[in-house]
Amino acid sequence: MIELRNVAKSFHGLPVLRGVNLTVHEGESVVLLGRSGSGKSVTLRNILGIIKPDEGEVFVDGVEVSAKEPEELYPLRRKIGMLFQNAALWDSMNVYQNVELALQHHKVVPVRKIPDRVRECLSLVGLGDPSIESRMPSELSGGMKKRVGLARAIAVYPKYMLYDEPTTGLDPIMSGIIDRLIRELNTTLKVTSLTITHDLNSAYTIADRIVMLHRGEIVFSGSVQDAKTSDHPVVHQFIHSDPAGPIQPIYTDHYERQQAHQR
Amino acid sequence: MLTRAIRAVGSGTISSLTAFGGAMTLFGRALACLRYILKDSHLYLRQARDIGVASLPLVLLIGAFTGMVSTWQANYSFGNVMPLKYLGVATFKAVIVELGPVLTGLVLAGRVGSSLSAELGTMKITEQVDALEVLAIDPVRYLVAPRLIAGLIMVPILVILAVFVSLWGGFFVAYSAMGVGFDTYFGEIPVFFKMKDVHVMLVKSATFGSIICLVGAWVGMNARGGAEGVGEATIKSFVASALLILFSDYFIATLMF
Repeated sequence: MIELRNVAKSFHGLPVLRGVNLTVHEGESVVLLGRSGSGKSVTLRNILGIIKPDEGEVFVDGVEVSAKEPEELYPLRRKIGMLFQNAALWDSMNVYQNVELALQHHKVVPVRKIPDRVRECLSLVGLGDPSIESRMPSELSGGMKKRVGLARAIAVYPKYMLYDEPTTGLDPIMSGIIDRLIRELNTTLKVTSLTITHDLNSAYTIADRIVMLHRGEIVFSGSVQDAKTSDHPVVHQFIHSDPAGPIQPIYTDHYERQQAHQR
Repeated sequence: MLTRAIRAVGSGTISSLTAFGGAMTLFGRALACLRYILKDSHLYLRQARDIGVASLPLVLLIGAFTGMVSTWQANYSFGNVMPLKYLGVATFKAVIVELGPVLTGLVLAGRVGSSLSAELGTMKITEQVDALEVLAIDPVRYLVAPRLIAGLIMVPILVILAVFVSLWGGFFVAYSAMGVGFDTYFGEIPVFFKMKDVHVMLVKSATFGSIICLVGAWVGMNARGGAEGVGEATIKSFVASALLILFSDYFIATLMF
């Protein structure tokens, strides 16, 4: 189980998370929705222990992540897989080596079975072609990188999977394949999943429960159907992609701000 | 104005001390990873190759020119008062305790330290370091320790080779421009040779090797922002390494002479 209790986190005095309470039960697939800058990635990083909350506690599998030093978290992290938004492949290694490294490092499977496991995982994400194994990350498309990242994450048989924008940059067919894979991992292997995404179709496919984060606070938690029919103004605006509502656009420069003001 | 200056000095001091503390912690953690050196030997060997073998042509070139210039300088400065048989000794003494370690160190701060900080900085910024952490692979053990130990071992070896080549570079100038023979040039070196010179060279080069790799690794692992952050890390790494090499050179000279 993943549990965040009253987690708060600020950067340079700006609050990003304000008292977040979130529980992901064993075998559950939760999708965390929210616009950019709402604190979704910070939530994931708190769960991984890459950053520590200013207040509150984070528990994963009964271990208080927020109270541990990085080295003390390694046994726990062997149970967690993570798909990074930009895949974060090690660019000095080819595809095969990227998937192989953790298997070899942790002796997850006997050494002679490592090649089979690597190929099995690459096949699972639609990269079964042997010629891909020797390619370097710089020779892969964005979607392929993401699939290799997913293969790397699932290779170590994680109990928990965290997905950071798993379908961003993928074509609809590949998005569907990845969504189905995430769902299969969750249903067949009972992998507990927490996904952050903007992709509503993806969210509807993989979620047992949708949680909405807005300005560092959780404003909604419910089933896909509940989210679709919710009259909560934030959820309604987000789900229906409505420009008018409590979620204000973020202006990237002075010109845009001026244009908006004139409108 | 004065308040601002005091504040700038104060914040600079605090950030320097924080950086020093952070780098020392990283050094300690890297040394603690030495217990895995046999298991991770392939990582150490790869770094030894990247730091040592790849830098060899540049270091040998620097060494040769250092020796050649030193011999010209010695002849120019002392030619009127010193017999030519001491040219080899003058070059040897200048190169072994000072020019060899310092020039090689400064060149490697650019060649090795900057590329190290750029490599690790890019890995940090593109979440590759986080990916290692998430897969329970200690980035210090996997990335920092092999580079640090390789630097600690390979820089002294490179300096020894640079000193050796610089002597031959000096001999080339002495022979071709001044007509000094092999026996004349090298004959006095054993007479003035002190084991302490070798000790100083080894202490200096091992210290410089540690500085280059530690600073490069620490700056890289703390890089922020995008490509600009990597660029900044590269510059910061070179400047900090070069300054620390010069400070520690003075410090070692004070202690050992």
